[in-house]
This record gives sequence, structure tokens and C-alpha cells, in this order.
Amino acid sequence: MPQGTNAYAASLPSLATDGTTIKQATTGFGDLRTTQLMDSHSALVEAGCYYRVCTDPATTSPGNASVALYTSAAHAVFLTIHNRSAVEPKRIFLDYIKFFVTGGTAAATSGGMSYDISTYWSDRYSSSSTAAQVLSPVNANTDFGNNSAAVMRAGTLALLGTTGIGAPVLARGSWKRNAVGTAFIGPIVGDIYIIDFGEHAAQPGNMGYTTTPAQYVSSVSPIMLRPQEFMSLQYGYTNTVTTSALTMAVEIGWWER
Amino acid sequence: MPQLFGKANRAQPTSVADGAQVQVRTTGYGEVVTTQLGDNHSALADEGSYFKSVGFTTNPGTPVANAAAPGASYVATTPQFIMYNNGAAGGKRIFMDYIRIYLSASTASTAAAGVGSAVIIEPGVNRRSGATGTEYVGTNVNTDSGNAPNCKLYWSTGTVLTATALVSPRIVSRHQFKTMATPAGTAGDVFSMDFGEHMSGAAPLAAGTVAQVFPASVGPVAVGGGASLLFYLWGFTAIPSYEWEIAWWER
Repeated sequence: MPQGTNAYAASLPSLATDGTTIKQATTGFGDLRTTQLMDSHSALVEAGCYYRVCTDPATTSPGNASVALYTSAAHAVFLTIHNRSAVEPKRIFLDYIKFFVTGGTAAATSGGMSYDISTYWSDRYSSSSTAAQVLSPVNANTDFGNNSAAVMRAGTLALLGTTGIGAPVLARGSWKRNAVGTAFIGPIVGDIYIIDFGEHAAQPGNMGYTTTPAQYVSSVSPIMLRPQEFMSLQYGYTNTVTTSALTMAVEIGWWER
Repeated sequence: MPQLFGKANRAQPTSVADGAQVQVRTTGYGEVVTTQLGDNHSALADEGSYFKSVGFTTNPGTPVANAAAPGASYVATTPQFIMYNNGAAGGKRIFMDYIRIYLSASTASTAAAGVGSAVIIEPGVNRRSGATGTEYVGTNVNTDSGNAPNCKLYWSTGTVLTATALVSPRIVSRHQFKTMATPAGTAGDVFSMDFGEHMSGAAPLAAGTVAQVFPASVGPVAVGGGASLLFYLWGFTAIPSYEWEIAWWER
């Protein structure tokens, strides 16, 4: 039975010249010692399976005509993603979602701005308003074309079916909150709201009782969409309803494997 | 069929002495257990594929003046800089690591809408128009390596850098570094864009006239042979001066 036997070296071994055949280095426990070239996500772009959508800075950002009170039953859908892959079993792995406010007004009551992400096993997209946009994926590697399986929309969107137990909520977070005893400062032009998926790594940060724009980040565990699966991102204000339009530019990164 | 057989050790096994031969350790599921030596990017420098461009006039601390004010909004034909992969199609790719712009001018610019940015890539074309802008040469960070970069870097200094019309643009980043009416850029502000693994941090985006670091985390980008990357920066209605540091690798 062929087996790998490996030279162990706690200290740096002698450097072999290029082209020499050598044994794999291990620790004394038998762990393979490795040298990783480039970060894990650049390796994905090298393989041609990393995609992005960005709204065009030369055009108007997608918007919500009104933003609902955030309750368990009703909140404004702003983003939908559908994995249209049917035959090829490609899965969508979300990397990050970034919105930044390009137009909107402050909501001056107590409360905060919450979001959630729910998934479903089929496409729940129903309709969209004129302020919504279909987002066009691009391959982040110029040597590859766009063969993404993702269909993405942002803006005022309506969904088929019901929420609740049939559409499991996989993430629930808050971007902004009021300080105790002070008014809630709603979205400000220039505010950036980010959700990082994958390895959870929360960071301290101001939750937003400020009148100057800031970047608010949520860390969320991995979310994966299998073929035909669907996700939607909803948000709203916990203590008020505003009928003022809120427009946000969008940047999303993900990979498909 | 030759196979690599490991030794399953979920618990930490006994360590052997230097030079002893051991079987590769695996988990009970057959996954190879590894220990990574050093960070990912130092390994790229070690093999001689990592490059940088650091921009100033005569010495660090002496900024470069932009050829003109970038303007208050995005204009597709006037990027701040262009990176062109001068290699052959199908050859080495440029992988962006980071872009850092250090506003070192004491004369801050002003604008109404803050400082916006975008990154666009396009296959199969050098988008630099004629001899506009100024070419800068990247350096290998490994003194033992004689590898020269395929990357051609053109900045909007000297003369205004202009791009020929984009035909198949791929917008891979859209960001707002700072949102503040006056000043849009404070002397000492740092605009930093990290590519690769996305890792954002909460941060204020404007705070009076105090200089700050404004970070942006962007996903990975690869620029193939014969392709261009265009970086846009806008929001300055006066001419900014700055130094820069750009890093990338080619494989």
C-alpha cells in the first residue's frame, strides 16, 4: 500500500533548488505544512466563478417608494436573488451585500432600522415598481464571460406566497438604532449598509444616532442558494412608517460552484 | 490507482522529533490537516510575483498634483488611473490587492456630494486614449526577483488621463468614501480600497475637518492579458494633490 512518508522539520529545513523532488513537509503531528498563495477569494476569481453586480454610477439608484413599519408580517422587500440554475447544480454562495444611500429622508422618532433575509425553495418574485431595477451580473475575471446563474432585482419588489414558516428567516439584524432618550436618525445620504457573509466576525461600531453619514456593518453566517432557490432581503423601521422614497446604490459579491 | 494514505488523528497525536518520518495527518473524515506558514501575500512576494507602485514626486511627502479637478460626478472617459495588462491574452493575470490614496495637500478640495469611486474592468482592450496621463512603472517587492510586471499604470497627472469609450464595461465596485460638503478632502485623509476577501469595518464617513482613514472592502478582481482596469474618483471640484500606493500580483 503506497503511503506518504514525510520529512518533519520543526525548524526551517534546507532550501532545495528549483526542480528538485522533495518530500512534503509536516509538523511533528503529521499535519501537512502548506504555503498558501493568494487569499481564498482571489482564488475563486482566478477560477472564473466569482461575480459582482454594481449599479451604474451614471444612473439613478433603485429605490423604495415607501418604507413600511418593520413587523413580523410586513416590511419592504428591497433585494431578491434567484438561482435559476436547473440542470447544472451550481450553488450561489453570498460574499457581501452593500447598499449606500443616494436619496432619502430621516425618520425622526424612536426606534431603528432593521433587516432580515429569508429564503425559499422556488422563485418568489412577483412584480416590481418603476423604481426597481434588474441587476446585471458580471464576471470579476476579464478572462471569463458572464455565466452566472443569479437573477437579481433591487427596489420596490412584490413577492409571491407568504412569509413566515414557509420562508425561513436566516438572518436578522439592525443597521441603525436611536440612542436612549434621543430621536432615531434615519437613513442619510451617504450612509453605507453592509452585510458580510461567511465567517462571522462582528466589529464594534456606532449604531447610528448621528447626523453624519457612516458605514454600518453586519456579519452573517454563510447563506447558500441551491438551484432554483430564492432569497429576499427586507428592511423597515421599527417604530415608524415613512412614505418618503429611499434610493440606494447596490454592490453585491458572490461565487458559484 | 496510487493514493495518498494519511493517519486519522482527531486528537492531537504525539509529536515526533525533527527529521523523523511521519504519516500525513487527516481528520476522521479523510481531510488532510494542514498548518499554513506565513500569510498568503508574503508567499507571493517570495515567489517574485508581487508588485507595487508608490507615487510621489521627488521623495515621500512630496505629493503629486492631479492634472485637473476630477469633477463633482462620475464621468466614464476620465478615470483617475488605468491599469493595463500588457501580457498576452490567456497569459498572466493581474490580481488587485489594494489601492491607497493619501491626500497630502494642505489645500483641500470642496464639493457638495462627497468623494465617490468606482472600479470598472474591460476585457481585451487598453482603454488609455493616446498618450494621455503619465505612465508609472511598478516595482517587484522581492529584491531577489528580476520579474518585471506586465502591468502598465497610467495616472491622471501631467496631462488629463482620458479613456476611449467603454464598450463592454464590467462595474465591479461602486463606493462612497466620504460624504461631506466642505471639505470633501482634508489634508491627511486616506482613501483605501482592499480587494480579495471582503471584510468591512464600521466607520464614520465624515467628521469635520479631522483627517481620517476611509476604508472600502471590495471583492476580488482579475485582469487578464490585454484587459484594462479603470479606477474612478470624483467629488473634487478643485485640483487635489496626493501620494498613492497600489499593490497587485501577477500569476
